[in-house]
Parts: sequence; C-alpha cells; structure tokens
Amino acid sequence: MAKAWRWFHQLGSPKFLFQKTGQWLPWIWAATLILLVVGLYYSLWASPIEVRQGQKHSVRIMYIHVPSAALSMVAYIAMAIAAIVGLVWKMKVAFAVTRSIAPVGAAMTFLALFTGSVWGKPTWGTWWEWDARMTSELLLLFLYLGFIALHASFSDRSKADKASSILAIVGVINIPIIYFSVKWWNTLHQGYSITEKGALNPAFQTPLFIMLAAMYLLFIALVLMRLRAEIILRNQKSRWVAEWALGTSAKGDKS
Amino acid sequence: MSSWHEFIFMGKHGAYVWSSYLVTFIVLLGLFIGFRIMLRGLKKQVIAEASLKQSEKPKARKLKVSKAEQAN
Repeated sequence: MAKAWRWFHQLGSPKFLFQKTGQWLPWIWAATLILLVVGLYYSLWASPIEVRQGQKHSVRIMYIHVPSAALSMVAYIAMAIAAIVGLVWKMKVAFAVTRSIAPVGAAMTFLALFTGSVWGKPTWGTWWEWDARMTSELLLLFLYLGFIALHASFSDRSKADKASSILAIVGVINIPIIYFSVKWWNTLHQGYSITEKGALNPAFQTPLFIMLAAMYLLFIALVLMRLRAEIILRNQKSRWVAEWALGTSAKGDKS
Repeated sequence: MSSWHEFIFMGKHGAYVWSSYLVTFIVLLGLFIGFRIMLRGLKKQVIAEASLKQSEKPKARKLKVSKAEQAN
C-alpha cells in the first residue's frame, strides 16, 4: 500500500512524470503502430462485407467510428477524474492532464461525428439527424471546445485550471446521456452491439477489437505528448527544465 | 476482399470509406505534428534564454506557445 502511494506521489512530480513519459512514449508508439498495421489490414482488407443490414463495404467505417466514439466518452471521464483529483488534492499535474486530454478528446469526438455522418449517408440516406445519440455527441464536442476556450480565457493559470475543471466535472452528466441514449429514446442510431451477446458477428469482432486497442494506445500516446509540452510550459522556471533543454540532465530525453 | 479493384472502389462506397479513413489519418497526424512542434518550440525558447547573459535575463521566464498553438 505504501509503495502504491509513493508511486502516486512520484507521478505528482512534474520532473518525474516528464522523464517517465519520455521513456514510455517510444514503446507506446511501437505497440500502437503494430496494432494499427494489423488492425488496418483486417478492417480494410481481410474482413467480410456486411449484408444483413445492407451496409456492404461501408461497414469498414465502423472500425474507426466505434473506437473514436468510445474514446470520446472515456477521455471525457478521464478528464473529469483528473479535474476532481486536481481540485480535491490540489495536485497541479492533474490540471495539466485535463488540459492535455481536452484537444485529443475533441479530435476523437469530431472523428466520431464525421465518420458517423459519412457512414449514415449511404446507409440511412442522410448525413445528419437530430436524434438523441448524435445531438448529445455534438454537445460533447462543444463541451471539449468550451473547456479549451474557458481555459484560454484566463490569464492566470490556476484560475483557468479551477474554472475549466468545474466545467469538466459538470459536463460528465452528458456521458450517461450519450451512452444510454439508444436505450432511453427511439434513435436512428442503432443500439448496443459490442456489449450485447450475439449482436455482432465474430467476423466483425476481430478488426473492431484490434482497432479499439490501437486507438486507445494512440490516444494515450497523443495525450502524453501534449502533457510533456504542458509540463514544460507550467514548470518553465524550474532548474530541471533548463537542464533538459540544454541536454545536461543525467537522464536526458531526446525529444 | 477479392481484388485490388474492389479494395479501391469498395463496391460503390469507396468515397465514403476512404474519406473516413483519410480524415481520421489527417486529424491524428495533425495532432502528432502539432504537439511535436509545440514541445520543440518550447525547448528552443528555453535554450535561447539560457544563452542570454546573466544581466539580460528576465526575472521570470515566459514561454509562448502561440506558434505551436494551432494544433492545440
């Protein structure tokens, strides 16, 4: 137990986190690329077309739509948890994490909306419908953008952190609305297929699960990259930052 | 998938499938490049400041991300 807490406290140290993420990133990228190559091979080439619903080849869009949509929600929850940690335990690194997740989460939300729209045109015959799933997902995009805008509107960083963290926490209410929207309302969007047994043909599961894993890793890698820049920005007066930039620190990072 | 022709045209849905994958690729690559430029830009500023003479140094460092900000 004591060991676990020590680890938590170490991650609270910007210098430690910067060094560790520098060491982790090459491995995360390597794993991401391997999974992406295999995942793309399956999703674009080695998987069958969908005939039951008449999607044909456009089913392949699902392999990027589902991971990005899942990540858009998971990322927001992670951002809100970091915001709570920052507000309750006054952990400064946690605020840096919220700010780092926001742009990547916004990108995932945009991609979920875009790929969903492009899929909807050949399948439903419409680019967009104001149904519950799509509208709440669009709201999620505005929450991310609102978080970034609110954070940018304060010249004092600690005020910006607090205000935007509260927005992040309040906005979590939207996540169950997105998730359960297909159950609570009659939506054009289809219901659950991954968590419901038998709803997804095993032939579609292989590419989907590999792409899910790849996108999760890709997301983590991008957030860590943004976090490293955020840490330098926030600790610019520290001695170790100058040492890192000049390459004089003992455990140097190349990037 | 049975042929390269099918792979490219995806039945009649080639434009939909490929535009989805292309936009996803561009957005994610944009984030990657943007974050990379951001960290490198910050590093350059720290180095530039460290090379100043002691008397010219501002008391507090002020890094700017404006140049790398477009991908934020």
